[in-house]
Amino acid sequence: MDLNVVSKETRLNFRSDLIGHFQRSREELLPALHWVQEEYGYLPEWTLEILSWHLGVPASEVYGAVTSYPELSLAVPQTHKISVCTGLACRESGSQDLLNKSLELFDKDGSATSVYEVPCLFSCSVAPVVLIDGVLAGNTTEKLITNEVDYERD
Amino acid sequence: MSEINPLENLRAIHANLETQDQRDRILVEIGQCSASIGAYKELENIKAQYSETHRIEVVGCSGACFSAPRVTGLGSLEISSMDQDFLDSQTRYVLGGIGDIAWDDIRQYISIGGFQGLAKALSVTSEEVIEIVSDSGLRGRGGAYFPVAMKWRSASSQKSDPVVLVNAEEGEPGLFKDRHLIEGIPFRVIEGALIAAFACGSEEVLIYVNAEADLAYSRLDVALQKCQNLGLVGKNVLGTDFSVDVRLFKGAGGYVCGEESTLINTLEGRRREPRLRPPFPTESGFRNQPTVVNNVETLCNVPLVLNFGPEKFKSNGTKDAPGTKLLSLSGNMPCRGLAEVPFGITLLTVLCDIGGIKDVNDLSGVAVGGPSSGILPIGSLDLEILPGVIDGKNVMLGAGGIVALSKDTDPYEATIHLSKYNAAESCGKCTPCREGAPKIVRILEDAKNSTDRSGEFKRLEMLAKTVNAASLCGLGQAAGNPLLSYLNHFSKEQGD
Ligand SMILES: Cc1cc2nc3c(=O)[nH]c(=O)nc-3n(C[C@H](O)[C@H](O)[C@H](O)COP(=O)(O)O)c2cc1C
Ligand code: SF4
Ligand code: FES
Repeated sequence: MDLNVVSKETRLNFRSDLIGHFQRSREELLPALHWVQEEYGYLPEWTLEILSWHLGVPASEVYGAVTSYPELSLAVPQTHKISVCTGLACRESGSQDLLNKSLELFDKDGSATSVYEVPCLFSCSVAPVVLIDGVLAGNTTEKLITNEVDYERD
Repeated sequence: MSEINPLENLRAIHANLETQDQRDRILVEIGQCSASIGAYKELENIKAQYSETHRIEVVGCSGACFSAPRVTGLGSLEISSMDQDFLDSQTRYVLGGIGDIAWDDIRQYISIGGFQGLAKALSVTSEEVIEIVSDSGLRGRGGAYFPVAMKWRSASSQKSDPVVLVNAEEGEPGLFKDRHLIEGIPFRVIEGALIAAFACGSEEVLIYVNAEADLAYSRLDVALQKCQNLGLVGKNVLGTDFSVDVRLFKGAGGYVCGEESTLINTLEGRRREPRLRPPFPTESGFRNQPTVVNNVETLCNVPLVLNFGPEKFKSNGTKDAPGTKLLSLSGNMPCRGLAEVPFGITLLTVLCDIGGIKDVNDLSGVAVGGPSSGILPIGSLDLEILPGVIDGKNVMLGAGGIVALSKDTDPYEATIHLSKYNAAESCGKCTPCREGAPKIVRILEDAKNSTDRSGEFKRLEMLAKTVNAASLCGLGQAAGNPLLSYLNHFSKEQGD
């Protein structure tokens, strides 16, 4: 892995941040990964290598863990993200239409929004539910989703 | 040294917390559910209008999500009869206090009996606490209904010190009960975990919270700090020689994460996959220490059992299945939300009296127990809500997710949906689940439009039974259930 994608200074700063926040223990792996993802919006590869040194967990195992958790991501995120729940309860309330509408609006070249289909957002009592840039919206309508198009323009 | 009296110490804490504010209260219910439909905005409105004259408090969601965002305490705003029926038809035991007390007010929590279960536990021996819980007959509410006292006793009889893990993953589609409990009454969750730790001889509690449950996490965090400040968590709890460290841990997603050995792997920074058994977690789990994993709802029952006694607990439910169960009600019904019922009540009563369904003939079926279970036809709604298998075959109550399916929903499609979910969530560690679960989906999809499916159904039945029998963890062991339930309940009716 090429660590030179960022400057040596950035790497050193990152390392001292890690030392400040986390003990050298395998149990700190998930908390540390959450912390990195919070800082960068995703998990840049160079951070994983440094994390592996600091925690004393082989890099291969850090990767193994990272790729097995759906909440952790190695990819640079899109500017906006909309997750449409298509679980059983949301289907009963028309989530398929919401998904189709979202795909129609956002799933095209140059769109700054990525659309995901998720199996449940654990608010089934206010179905249909979507998650827009980390904010839950219950009793969702197509109109709400269409209004989100506004941010595509800025 | 003078006699240590934990109850006296609790009373002293309570007395110090007395409030001077005697104004009328207005209660704004905010949970993950209502926040998603404008409850915070509602709170702002109420504050703008009433903050001079009233005490405005944020409480958890009462469970009546269908009429959220709810505000109570304002005389001028009558509670609708629909809300009242929904609440009155329930037996509210673990939900007691939710929607009535401010979620972050430890004084109010103590006023309704909070931390008295802990104080009573600390006044007797660990073994006596386990005896009391054993006497109540309390079983785990995470889906497997394992006797709580038996698990605790097993962990406490090992050589090294046990660890208590609170399973607040709640990653099964259709559920929102543990979130409601944590958001509405976080102190009860903490109190239950403390009693569990004391009973098992443990000094360490880890609360594992679903990565997406931000509100639950932050409320637990606040509640935990308050407990620490008052000496309810930490060194010498309530003046006794019981000391305990409680920490929160944020999960990282996926259904299988809630499986207890996977949860332990996650805590240890390992891949998201289950472990082989034996050894069982109670023998060797987290850091190879004996580990007790309990569900949030299970632990919320514990303080009530200690404080009000096992008899009160057993006064609800049946002889073999004492107590109540939380049901997450969703889908095609008017009163969608969280309800608490005594074991033994029929599904029909739940759907009609609580869920507000007028005519069950408007349904094509009811999915009970999530993707590890299956769909029941409306002819089977007289079955009772009980732990484990409820139709004698493959439909299980599980953690209590109930989704009503409208006439427009084809149970065959819904079966594919559930089977697909299991296939997608397979962690891939063992072959029967990794290969078998997707194969069930492929055959179901291929057979969708064929007129004679009997051949496919025979193959599917064998495949599903093999997947169930040969898989390593509970996910694969139940991955065939949606299909098998369909075959049991629907295929004959539809002439297949
Ligand atoms: C695939 C799978 C997912 C599970 N998810 C959860 C969960 O989200 N929450 C939970 O408490 N138990 C879950 N369980 C059950 C746990 O393994 C464990 O039995 C439970 O937490 C024990 O607590 P209890 O005895 O208090 O019910 C799951 C089991 C399986 C097989
Ligand atoms: S049964 Fe499925 S989820 Fe469980 S260990 Fe095997 S592959 Fe993983
Ligand atoms: S099914 Fe959509 S939130 Fe649960």
